[in-house]
Amino acid sequence: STDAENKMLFYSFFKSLVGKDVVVELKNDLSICGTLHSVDQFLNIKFTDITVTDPDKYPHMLSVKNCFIRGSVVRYVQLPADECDTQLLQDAARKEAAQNRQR
Amino acid sequence: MPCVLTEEANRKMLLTALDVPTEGVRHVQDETVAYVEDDSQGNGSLYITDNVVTWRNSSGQGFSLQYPSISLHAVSRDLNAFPHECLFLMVDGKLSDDADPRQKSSDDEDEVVGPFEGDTATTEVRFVPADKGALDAMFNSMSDCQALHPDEQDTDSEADDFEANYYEGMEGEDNLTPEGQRTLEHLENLLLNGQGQGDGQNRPNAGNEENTNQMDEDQFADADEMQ
Repeated sequence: STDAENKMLFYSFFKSLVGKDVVVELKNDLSICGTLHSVDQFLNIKFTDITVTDPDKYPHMLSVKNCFIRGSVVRYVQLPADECDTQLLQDAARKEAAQNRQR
Repeated sequence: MPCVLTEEANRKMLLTALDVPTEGVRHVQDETVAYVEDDSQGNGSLYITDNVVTWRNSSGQGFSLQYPSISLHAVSRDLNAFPHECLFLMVDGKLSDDADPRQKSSDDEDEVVGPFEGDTATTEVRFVPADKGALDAMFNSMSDCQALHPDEQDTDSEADDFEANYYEGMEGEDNLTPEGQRTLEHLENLLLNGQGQGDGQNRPNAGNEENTNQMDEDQFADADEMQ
């Protein structure tokens, strides 16, 4: 499936995680843990109550409150395992890909 | 590669003559001190516009930031981290590059370098307004403008119309929007019925003799309740 199709599924899935704590690893290796406040179609992420997992390297990030992270700088999003029904996601991804091929 | 500069010379390079932005101005914050990597640039005005973030002092000297280079922005109120409440920006690259993109070497122009790739540094920028109550508005304006600048390489031209019609801006502040709810129902539907209807309508299993996925439905309902 194309990037756009993948992002639709990610977008829907991230929306369902609003209110949960996730860890975002940026492409510069900085990791930020926070409560997912909202996400948009470009996977820009808004956090509340963030902490930095490597404060020695980025001391100025400590105790920032609202935080907006540009989607394009995110490398990974670490999800709590109990929030992630991989079977559900796999099936949904397969069905979406099949549908999009029919269009 | 640029030669090594003294701190003072580097600071002078940061500021160039800039006009007051006039297009797409979302927020203007006067009496705002700009810090670049803990170096104060003095007092000035911050302009958050659709196309660019510009800070400019009363002498007309300042710098501009392109949204794709603003990896992260946040309101910092922890005085232990920094002695002033401020709008904190993590900027990809050096500010001297952002101030005048034309100074970039031809190699940079030809090569598509993603954020934090290559040898780009990270620059911490802070805007400290005299009116600390304005910080939330500054944060929100900057967030709104960031959404106007998705990465070129991420966009799929065929899907642009589809995405524009399908989704609304930042979701999550309230409950799901009707589109969001339909999307999630769509995802649920794909699994419940096992045969993607593709029309987004939520169809309960009534009347569908082929649907024997009662257990799947219950499992999904449990996951929903847990949220």
